[in-house]
Formats: sequence, structure tokens, C-alpha cells
Amino acid sequence: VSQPPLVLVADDDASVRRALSRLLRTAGFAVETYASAPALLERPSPDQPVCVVSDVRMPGDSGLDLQARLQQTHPDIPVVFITGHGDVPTSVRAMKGGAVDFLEKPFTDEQLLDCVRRALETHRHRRAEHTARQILEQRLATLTPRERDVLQLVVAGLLNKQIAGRRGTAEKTVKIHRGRVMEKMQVGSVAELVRMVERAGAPPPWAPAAPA
Amino acid sequence: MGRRATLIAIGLVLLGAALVSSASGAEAPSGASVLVLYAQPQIVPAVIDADQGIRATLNASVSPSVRIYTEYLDTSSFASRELQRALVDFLHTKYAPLALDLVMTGGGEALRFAVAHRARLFPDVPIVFFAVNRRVHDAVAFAPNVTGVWLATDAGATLDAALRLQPGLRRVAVAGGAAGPDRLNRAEIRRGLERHAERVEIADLPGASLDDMVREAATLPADTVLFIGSVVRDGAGRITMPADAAARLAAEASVPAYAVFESHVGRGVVGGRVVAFRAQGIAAAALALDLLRGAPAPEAPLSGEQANRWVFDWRAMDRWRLDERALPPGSDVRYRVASPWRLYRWYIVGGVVLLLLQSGLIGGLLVHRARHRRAARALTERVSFEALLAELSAAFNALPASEIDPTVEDALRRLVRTLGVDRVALAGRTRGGAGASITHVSTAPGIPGLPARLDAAEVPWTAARLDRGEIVHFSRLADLPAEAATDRRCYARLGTRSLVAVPLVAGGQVVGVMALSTTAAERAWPRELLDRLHLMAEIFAGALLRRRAEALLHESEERFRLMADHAPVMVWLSGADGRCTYVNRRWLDFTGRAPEQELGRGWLDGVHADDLAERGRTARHAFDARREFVIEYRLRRHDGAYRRVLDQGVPRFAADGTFAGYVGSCVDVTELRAAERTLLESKLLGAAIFTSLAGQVAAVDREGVIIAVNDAWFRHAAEHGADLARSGVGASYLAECHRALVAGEPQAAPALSAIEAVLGGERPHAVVEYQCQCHEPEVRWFQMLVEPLRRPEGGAVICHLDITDRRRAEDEARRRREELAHAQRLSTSGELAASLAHEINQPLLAILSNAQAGDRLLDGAEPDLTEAREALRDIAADAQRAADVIRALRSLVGRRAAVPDEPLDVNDLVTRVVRLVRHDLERRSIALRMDLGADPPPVVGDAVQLQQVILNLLLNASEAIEAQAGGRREIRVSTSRTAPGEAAIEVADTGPGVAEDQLERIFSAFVSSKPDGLGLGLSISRSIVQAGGGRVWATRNPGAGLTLHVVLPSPTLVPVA
Repeated sequence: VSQPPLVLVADDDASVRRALSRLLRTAGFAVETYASAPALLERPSPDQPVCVVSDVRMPGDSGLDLQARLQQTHPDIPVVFITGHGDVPTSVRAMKGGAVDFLEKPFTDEQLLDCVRRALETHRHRRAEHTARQILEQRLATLTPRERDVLQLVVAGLLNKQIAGRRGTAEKTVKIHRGRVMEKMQVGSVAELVRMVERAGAPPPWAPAAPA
Repeated sequence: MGRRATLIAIGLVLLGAALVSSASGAEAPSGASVLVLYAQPQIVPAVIDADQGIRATLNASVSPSVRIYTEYLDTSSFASRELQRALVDFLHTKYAPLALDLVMTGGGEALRFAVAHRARLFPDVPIVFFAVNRRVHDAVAFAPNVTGVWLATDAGATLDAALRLQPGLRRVAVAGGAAGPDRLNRAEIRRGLERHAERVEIADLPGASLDDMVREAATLPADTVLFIGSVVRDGAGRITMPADAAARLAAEASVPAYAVFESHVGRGVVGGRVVAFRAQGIAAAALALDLLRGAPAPEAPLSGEQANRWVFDWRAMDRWRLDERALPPGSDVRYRVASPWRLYRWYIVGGVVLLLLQSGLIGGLLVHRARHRRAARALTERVSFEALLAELSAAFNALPASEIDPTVEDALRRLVRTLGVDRVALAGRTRGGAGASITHVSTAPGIPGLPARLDAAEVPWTAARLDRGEIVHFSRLADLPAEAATDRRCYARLGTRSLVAVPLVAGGQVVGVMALSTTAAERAWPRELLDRLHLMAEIFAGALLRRRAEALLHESEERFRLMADHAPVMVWLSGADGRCTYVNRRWLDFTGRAPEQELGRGWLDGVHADDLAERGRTARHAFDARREFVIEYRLRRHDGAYRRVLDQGVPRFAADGTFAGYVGSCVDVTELRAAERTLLESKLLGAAIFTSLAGQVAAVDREGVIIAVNDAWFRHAAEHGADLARSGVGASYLAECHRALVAGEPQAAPALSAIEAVLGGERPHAVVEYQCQCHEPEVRWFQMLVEPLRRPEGGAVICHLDITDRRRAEDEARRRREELAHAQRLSTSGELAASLAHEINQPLLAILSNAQAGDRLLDGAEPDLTEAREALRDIAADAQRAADVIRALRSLVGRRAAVPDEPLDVNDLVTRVVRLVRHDLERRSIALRMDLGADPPPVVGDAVQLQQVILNLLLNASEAIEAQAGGRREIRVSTSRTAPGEAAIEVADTGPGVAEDQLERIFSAFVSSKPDGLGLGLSISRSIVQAGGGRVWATRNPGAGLTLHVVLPSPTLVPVA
């Protein structure tokens, strides 16, 4: 059973919190409101897709502080900032910090909802990528060093014969390693293997730099 | 009845009585004890004169009453040291218990003695000397607390007179003794004569002993005169009586002799400017009385000049054929014997005839001496009696008053001898009339005296008869009739065996009695003896009467001089010729000149030259008409300063109505005139100030009636056609205000209450401002000031000032401030734009969101009405909130017409401003702490401007904090009530602050810490607050930053408009 996406609203202005909460609820989101950044940060991590809608200015820890803290613990949770008119320098700082969107007051319900949906989508996407990478890393962990070497060269597009020639082994031996890699990585074709590694994003940190 | 009683008393006195009065009884307690020490024996005439003067003066004093003790040192006779010591011991024993208050000394030797033995005899007791030569006193040095009257021997003046009397005079011989005082006196005389040294030759009369001198005097050349000074002891060492010596010298001298002492006049000398010892005594006694009464001692002893007199002997003048007309004015010519023959020739002729007859009779009787021894004795008695009678009748009329007493006593002595009686007495009626007191008495040797006075009740029968002018006599006590039993007892007690009492009748009045009595044996009183005694009584009565009259006259003159000398004003006398004859001591003290300089016309030297003519004219006119006059002129004082004196002269007339001259008094009125002038000037100045005041000023009395108005008031009233009867002096201003009140003039009520409050003392002053379109096209503003008149009668000064120009200037200034403040508010609002936008955007965002949520809620198949309703409710609340912000903004930025000042709540003002800046402070991460007092008093002012002040203070604080990097970021706003009746607002920041000497500078315009700031905020805030009567200032916080203080007056203290 998939839980409805969750929107966390942080604003020191009570009437603004009430209004935003009401609007987001009518659009079918689950909403939780917080009067300050620390209150929000104390909340346990949610399982479902989630995004944060926050005023940039708040007494005490401001919206930017909230964003910075969140980046450390839940880097994948997107933050939508509500800003006043002409708050350009703050907005630039927020963007550099990884905010997904800005809403300039006053804004329409569609603008808000679009932003929130986009943010949730982003979160969903980030969560999926995160999952694929975890699978890749688990399967890669089962490979022997020789198999990892072969995997790299295969993903790089070299043929068995080329690989055997570069490593000075028999073509037959390369073929056996390649078969074990395909098996351990649970892929049926080289194309599938390449797609899998690509989907996991950046090359694994442990991968040695490809020879020129 | 009184008279009768008196006579009885008088009679009594006459009786020979055995009663000896005990004079050594207990003393009545006296006010002051004064010891008078004389250098010379009691019998010296100078001493007698001085003593009379002293006693007359001291005895006249009531407060203090003075008890006089007298000692005669006789130092020239008893000069040895042993005697002196014994004398000091004696005086110490005698006077130490008495606690003397003052010692007077007569003569230089007495002063020397008193000063030398003062410590032992009378320590610290003041000494007043008289008849002392200046040199003697110099010799004993000026001891403390010693003052007195110098002996001012003035031989020079005498020589002046002598030269007038004897124009041919070329030589002067000076005779004097060899004792110390004598030599001093002679030197003094020679000094006085010195000033004529060019005209006359001056030499001492040679001769050591008095006899030698007398011989020398008898051979003096005709162009010489003899000056006789003091001869206490002659060159041969013989002690003499100076007056006797003078008498001998004068009698034997071949030329006229002049004297320097009054006591020598009458003893053969011509006279001169003599020292009057009686006057010396009076002056010294007056000085003594002053000291006894606590007056300070004079700076220097008195000159003694005032105790000198011109005295001449008519007989000596006659002897030397000197012309009386050449004498100095005011001279006292004594011993006139021009008329005894004419006046008393019948007595004399009768006496002589009687003598001749009786001589013949005696001759006849002598033949029958044995047979007629008794008759002869009676005749002898009669003859000598008649001779005495004749002698006395002549002598009494020629004698000076002072010599009457001794002559009377001598006559009584001779009566005792001649008639063979035991007691002869003269008695005068006592002052109260209830008795008689014995004035002269003579008794035969060994016969006791009489009591000093007798009461009429003791001898009623005798007194009654005497009272009727009858002679009373009896030869034996038994002769007295039965009704005289009381008298008999009294006579028996007094030891009287026989008596004749003759009344003394003068001017038809019984003034006393002459009584002769025997105590040893009874005696018969023949008829003719009684007749002669009657005659004798008449002579005595006449003599005593004359003596009394002269004494009275003398006393009254002395009294006048005494009074004049002690009068607090300057007193002068002039003779019938208009020349000054006398000035008192105060006059002399004032001018610092000697009496001779002032007398005659001399005093005119002191009159200011500019005043001389006017003074002379006025005095002459008065003089010619014998009228009183009052003149003011300037008279030179001893220090050379001219003082303004008011001189009042009154003509005086002798008893017979003839004009005798003027008596006048002068008062120094310099200070008085100066004070008058000052007062006048101050009055004129006050009037000038009052008149020249620009405002319209009126003074009103306690009832509000106008008592004075100035020119401006008068002009204003005249220019506006006001009824002067209603607004001029005499009109009631209060009534006028009442009329205006009834007429509905709006300014009348405050004016009326202001004046009444000041008149009633409820307010120290009052100010009322009002506008008036008084007959002019434009409205003008006036200010009425009411100040109380600070005087016992009360009242007030009312001043109307046209303050239209001031009001206009104030309005203009207010308008400018208004504009500037508005501009500053606008610029401030710009700075706040972001913060304000946030404050408005928040509710707008909420409204928008709620509206759209509502739309969705109502959109579905199952609209959520509950939620939709809540959304609408929230929309309404947020709209309200937005509206509040807009209103706050408008109230700050909006431009309005001036509104009347209204009471404002300081807390409310602060809250409204904080709403505008709250977000801005949040944005700057500045914490705001509010500490609003429970009940700050309401203030009066323009709400917008006061909010602007608060806003400026808050922004100033926030900018200050913003200007520093680290540290606390906090603003504290507090309100409170400060005594008395003021509201305070304080805004404290944690910014960097400013230096102590910059605290005032931050209120200057165009001083700003911000690069883009105009620096008007605090400057405008201060002008706003000060215009409302408040104050703004800054202080440094103990920790960091500044606190800005605003104090606003509460309406309770706002001055009444």
C-alpha cells in the first residue's frame, strides 16, 4: 500500500501555515506544519515521497539554516522556498544550497501545487536512483578483482579477444570470466550490463581510472 | 494753710536748739559714687568755684543719682613722701569699700596723684580731670580711661583787651609763683603773650618773695601792665593763697593788673579773659555724667576754651580810668558801685546822723559812767548795731552775689557779739512749704547748734504769728501764753530761754525768718531793739532775695549752656547786632574750630561761597522783620567736606520785650537730602519705565479698579474709540471683564478668572492668550499677563501684548516642522518598504491560499463545507490584519491637517510603531524586548509625530546594531511614569554607541552613521518633542550601546493656555 506523498510546511506565520496546509490538503497531499526549522528537523524520516515548503525568513534559524541541516541528513528531500519580493541575494544562496524551487509571494494554487508535485517527483526519482545504485553495489561486491577488471573493460566496449590481448591471457579464460560476471550481475546481455551501471549514476568510486 | 504751716516751721528753725544732727547715719543707696580730688585746700576760691559747678551739675542728675565725696590733697603744703604714703593709706582705707564709679581731679597735681596711685586706690575707675595744664598731663602720659577738660589760660586774648583799653601800653610784666604749677602757668601766660611780642616787651616781674614782687610792682613804669598768674608758693618758699597774692600785687601795683583766673577778679585786678573754674567744674561734671551713663569717652580731652569768660571788675576799671566801651562784647562787668549813695543815701545819712547823735549821747553818758553803766552798755550795743546796720545796707548792694553769703555770716557773727545773744540764725522757707531750713547760723562759743530744719507743727503758735508778719519774742518761757504750750515744749527741748523771731519779708511775702535767742540766760528785748532788728531783717531779706535772683539767673544761663552743649543739634546765639555770641559744643565739634573763630562773623568762613549771598539775604530780611527764618546752606565740616545744614533761627526778646537777638539750631541734612533725591530719581525712573513699556499696561488695586495706565494703554484705548470712563484710571477693570462676559466675548472668561486668581493670591501670575478682531480687518492675537503688585495694599499689573507676529512666526515654524517631518516619514517608510511589504504580503498570501482552497473544497462532488467555512473565516481575519497594517502605515505616512492635541497613551503609541518595524528587526535578526510600564500618564500631542519619534528611535537603534559585526543584537523599549507627572520612553540598543562628547551631536541635522542617511531622524525627533514641551537626550549604556530618553509632559502640568 503506497502512502500519499507528504508535504512538510515550515512558516512562523500561523495564518500562512493554516492557509497553505488547507490548500495542499484539498489537493490530496498529506501535510504537516511546523512553526520553526528545529521543530521540523526533529521529525523521524518519512518512508513515502516527501518535500519541504518553507519561508526563507523565520525568526531564529532561517529557511537557509533548515536547508543546510537537511542537506546533511536527508540530501534527497527537496525544499521549496517561499520568498518575498526582491529577495534575490537570499534566493541565490538557497539555490546554491540545492533548493528545487522558489515561489514568490503572492502565488496561485497551481504554482504552488506544480512546485510541490515537481518536488515530490524529484524525490521519487532520487529514491529510485538510490535503490538501483544499492543493487549494483551489492552485485559488484560479489565479483572477484579479475571479474571486476573484466567488467570494466566489457562496459568500456572491448571484445574478448581485445581483452585477452591487453591482459595477456587466453581468450578462453576471458570468456569464462565474462560468463561469471554476467551471471553474478544477473544480466542477460552486455547492453543490459552497461545500462545497469549507467543507471547507478556516476561510476563507482572504487573503479580505477580507465587506462587512456 | 500751707503758708501758715510754713511760717510755723520757719519759726521753729530759729530757735536755739541743742540738737546735734547726726550726719554720719547710714547712707541711702546711691546710683554712682564720685570722688573729687583737689590739689589745693578747700578754701581756695578757684576750688570753691569749681566745686560749686561740679555739685550743681552732678546733683542735678537723677539718673544716675550721684553721691559726691571730696578730698583736698593740698600737695603744695604736704609734699613729703611719708605724708604722701600716709595719705594714700588713708584714702585706701576710706574709699576701698565704696567701689567708686568715677574719680574727678582738679588741678595738675591731683591728676598726677590720681594716676600715680590709681592701681592701689581705684583700679580701672575712669578719671575725669579739670583745671589741668596741658603740659602736666603730657608729663604723666596719657593713661587709659583718663579724659577731662584742659585749663586754657588765654593771656593773649587778655592782652588784646588790654591793648584796646590802654593803647599806649608797651610793656608787660608777668608775676607768678615758684611752685611747679606756678611755673607752668607762667610759661603758659608768656606763650599766650608771645603773639604781641612785636608790639610789647614781655618780662617776668622780678623778686623772689611775694613781698619783693609787691615792691617791684609798685614801681612799674606807666606804659606797663601787670599780668598776675598763679602764686601757690613764692620764691622764698612761702605758701600763699593765689587770690590773696593777686590781691596784694594788684593793690600795690603802680599800673593796672590783669588776671587769668576768674577767682582773682574782684580782688583788685582789672580782669581779662579768665579761666572760670565754675565752668571748668560744670564741663568736667557733664563729661563725668556722660561716662557714668555709658557714653564713650571723647577722642581727646576738651579744650577748656568753653570754660573761659571775659570778666572785669568795674571798681578796678574805675580806679585806672579805663573805658568800659572798649571791652570785648559779651564781657561780664562786676562790682558796679555807681549807685549805692543814691540808692541808699537815706540809710547812710540816717546812719551817720544817728552815729553823730549817739556819739554825743555817749559822751554825755560817759560822765555818769558809774551810774549809767547799763545804759552805756546798751548805748554801745546800739551804736555798734547801728554801725553794722549802715555798713551792711551799703555793702549788700555793692557785693557780688557770691560774696553775700560770707558777708551775711559775718554779720550774724557780729550780731552775736554785739547783742550778746547765744544764737542768731536765718532760715528760709522749705521748698514744700511744710517747714523751714536754716541757711545761716552763728552761735556764741560753746553753744550747741540748731537742727537743720524744723517742722511747722512743732511750733504752731510761733509759726502762725510769723506767718502774719508779726515779730515774736519772749524773755522767758513762762511769758509764752497758754495756747503756745506746744511751742514751749519745743523751745525747752532746744534749750531756748528767750527769743526774738523777725519775719523776712520780700515782695510782700514772708520768705524766711531771722531769729535771735539765748540759752544761757533769759534776756529782755527792748522795743527799740526790736525795731532795729526789723530793719536788719529787711536788709537781710533784700540781700538774700538778690542773691537768689542772681543765682537763679546764673543757674538758668548755666543750664542753657549745659543743655545747648549736650543738645544733639548745633545751637547758636546772636546778639541784637546780629553777630554770633555763642555756639555750642556740637557746633565746634562739627566745624573743628575754636569758639573765637566762630563768634562774631567768624562762622561765616565755613559757609559755602555759593550759598553765602542767599543765606545773608534771607537772614537779613528775617532779622529786619524780627521774624523766624529757615535756611538751608552748605557748611564746611572739620574734615573739609561741605555738609548741607538746615538752619532755623528764632528771634528772642528780653523780659521787657526788647529784641535780644536770635537763637538758632542747625541740623545736618546732607544724608536726608541725598535720600530724598534718590527716592525722587527712583520714582521718576519707575514712572519713565512704566510709560515707555511697549505693551498696554494698567495697574489695578485689590478691587480691580484701574489706578494707573501707561501711554500705550491710553493710545490703544483712544485709537479704538474706547470709552475712557470704562478703561481709564478709576474704571473697574473687573467690571469691564464682567460686561464682556455677559456680552459673550469668548476671551472674557479666562481673562476674568486669571485676574481674580492673581488678585486673590491664588496664583503667582497668569498668562492668557486670546484672539481679537478689534476693529481691524485681520484677526490679531494678544497675550494678557497678570502679575501681582508686590505691595501691602495688593493689586495687580495687567499687560496686554500684541503677539500676532509671534503667533504667525510660531505657526510658520510649526508648518515647516510639519513638512520636514512628513518628508522624513516618507523617506523612513521607503527604508521600511521590504519589511512593510512582508507585513502586507503575509495576510495576502494567506487570503489567496484560503480562497483557492475554498474554491477546491466547494468544487468536488462532496464539498467540504465545514472546511470551506473555516477558510472564509481565516480570509476575513487576514484581511483585517492586512487592513491594520495599512492603517498603521497610513497613520505614519499620511498627511493630515493639524489636529487638536489630544491625550495619548504612550504604550499604545509604542505598540503601533513596533508593529511596523517588527519584521524589519526580524530580518536583521535583532531581538526586541518590550517593557511597558503599567500606567504611564497620558501625554498631549500629535499622535503621528510622536509615533514618528518612536519609529526614529527604533530605527536608529536597529541601524546602530546593524553597523557592528558581532555582539548581542537586542533593542529594549520601555515606558514609565516619572515624577512629577511626566511620561518617559526609553529605547536602549546594544550597538557600538558614541563617545561621551558626541552624545549631543547625534541630534544635529545631517549627522548620520549611514552612508545614504540624511541624518534627519533624531534632529526631527528632537524638534517634535521640544515643540510639545518635552525633552530628548542620549546616554551611554553601562554595557554597550546607547539609550535614548524621551520625556513628555503630562497635561496636568501643561501651562494654562
